[in-house]
Amino acid sequence: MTLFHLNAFQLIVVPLVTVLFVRSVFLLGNATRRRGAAIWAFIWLAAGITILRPGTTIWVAQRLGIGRGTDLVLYIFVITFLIAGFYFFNRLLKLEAALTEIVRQLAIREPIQQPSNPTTRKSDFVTTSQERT
Amino acid sequence: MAKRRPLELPISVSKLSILVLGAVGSPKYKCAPPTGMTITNPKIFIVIAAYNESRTIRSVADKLLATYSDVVVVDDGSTDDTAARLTGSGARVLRHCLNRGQGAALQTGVRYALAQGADVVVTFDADGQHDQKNIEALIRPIIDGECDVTLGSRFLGRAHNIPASRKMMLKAGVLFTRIFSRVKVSDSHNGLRALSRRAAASIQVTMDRMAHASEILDQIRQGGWTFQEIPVDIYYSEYSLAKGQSSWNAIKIGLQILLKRAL
Repeated sequence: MTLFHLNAFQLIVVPLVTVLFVRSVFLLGNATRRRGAAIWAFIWLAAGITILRPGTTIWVAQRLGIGRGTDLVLYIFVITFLIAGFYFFNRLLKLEAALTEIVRQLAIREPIQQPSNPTTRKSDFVTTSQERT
Repeated sequence: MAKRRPLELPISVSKLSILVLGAVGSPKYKCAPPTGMTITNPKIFIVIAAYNESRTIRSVADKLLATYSDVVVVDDGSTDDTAARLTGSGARVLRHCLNRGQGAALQTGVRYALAQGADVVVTFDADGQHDQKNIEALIRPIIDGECDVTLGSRFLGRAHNIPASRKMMLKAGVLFTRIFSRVKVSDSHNGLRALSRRAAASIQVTMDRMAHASEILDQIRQGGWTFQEIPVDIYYSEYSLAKGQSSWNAIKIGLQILLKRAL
């Protein structure tokens, strides 16, 4: 297969994927984003190869005993989505807990109404300016 | 003759029956047993979580304040004037700037009460379905050092005007609790309960929304806290029924609890 036998889909997508791949390779030099960049570089490389040579997925699928290349891609997507789903659900729970804690701290720190001096009579209760409006 | 070996199961029959029926014996103490000592001059704090309860909150607070000096109302980000209604009432009012759910609001109130030196913390509903006269019986065993937690039960006491559908739902909740929390109570979803200072400090509500009732029971069992059920009266009104949980919501809450357990 030579470069000049590309179909329309390949002609459009391959340059795009190449740009993204090159970008993530450059990002590998950035110490803080190295891990993410490496994962993306691998994904774009794999995407480029499978688009240019669709036979690769069939080859890999047969090695794994799956059969069809599209099935392999489907399985990988399903697994990835499930893992991502759990990951984000967990993140959401943690975020919600953190939010509740912040709201709680604020509420306890600034009571709207409480006794001006905890040992005084009930009539000494004060209302803060916030609530008078 | 070869001795016949008893059938070996991966789980013993007795354990299985406990799992299935959710029956538990007397709780074993994991924490210190009840002190058995009377708390002299106890500081009683009543904690109320209120979300859009402007219709009832003032009368509920006033009735409580007639007997108890420390009433904490946590306004859970209400969009109505719930907090303003309490101006000059003598209640302590905290406000969540965002709505975080009843469980979260109760936890906020409990933490505040403990910081103010509460000896006994009582949780009370804002919609007027509870009777402040029941509080005395609820806090007595804790003040006397007989147990650390008391739980109000409308089925030992009286549930006035309870609709059949609500009763069925609550009984289903009791069954759910026996199976999954393995706590034997007659009324698992009653908002009227009292906690000793040490129990209140150990029990941490993390289920922000309605699943907190089950969570508190779970933590009572896990912590090994001793508890008693106290008969209480619940007064159903159109208002309290509308503010309560629909059966569909109850199912959602049950699923939420199971999901959280699975994770």
